[in-house]
Amino acid sequence: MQITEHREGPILVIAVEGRLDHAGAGTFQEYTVKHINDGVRSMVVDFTGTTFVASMGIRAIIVPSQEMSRAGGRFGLTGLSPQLRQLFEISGLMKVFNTYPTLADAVADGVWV
Amino acid sequence: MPVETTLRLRNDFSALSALADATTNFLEEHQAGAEVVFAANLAIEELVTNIIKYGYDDEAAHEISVHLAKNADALHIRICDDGHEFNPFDQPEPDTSLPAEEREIGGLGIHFVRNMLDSCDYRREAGSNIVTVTKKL
Repeated sequence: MQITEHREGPILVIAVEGRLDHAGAGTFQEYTVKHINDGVRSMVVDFTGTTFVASMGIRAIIVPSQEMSRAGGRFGLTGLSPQLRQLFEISGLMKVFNTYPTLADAVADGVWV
Repeated sequence: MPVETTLRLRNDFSALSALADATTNFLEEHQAGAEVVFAANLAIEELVTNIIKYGYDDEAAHEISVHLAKNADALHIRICDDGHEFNPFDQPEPDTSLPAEEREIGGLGIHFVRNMLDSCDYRREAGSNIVTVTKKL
């Protein structure tokens, strides 16, 4: 798994390439939570390049989502493959997460701070 | 044409990524679609992680085998380990209606396997746990 980041206006975009599995989950969670602790309040995770996500990966997405909500910021997800979307639906998380079809849709949302 | 392969690994988390690569390569070589590759990776990752984490009562090295068999209709995955008797499909379903922060995360992996695969079976035979899951093509 590889994580890269860039800015789109007020949003910090975190792109995940490869497998968000048992091995990658801890790294992803630490990476995103550290940014929130450092003051980032608008974050979108882009899964366009993500080939696989396991339950540990889902857990690692829940943690920064909760941290961001506690911090009063906004956390969004984009680039979900049909399989990843299915995992979120199975786990009842589609209604918990802010998801966008594309990064452009996320950027166009007027909610970012 | 039916194709099959057997992959073997030790009970160590560091062996998981080579197992994932071997699984993906085998399935892509044999023209499995993205949905099948994802489901196979999910079943193997969740079930083998559980075995490594909870399956053994000693600190010794153990072998886990993963058998993949693909024919025109389905992919069959059979996972064998010599850990203590444990049926992963005999566990309570997680309550996915609870808010995310109140959930028990433990059961989520098996919940995914049940939902993303078409059949899930367990048997105990000659001191081994044998889990078989099937994904229709």
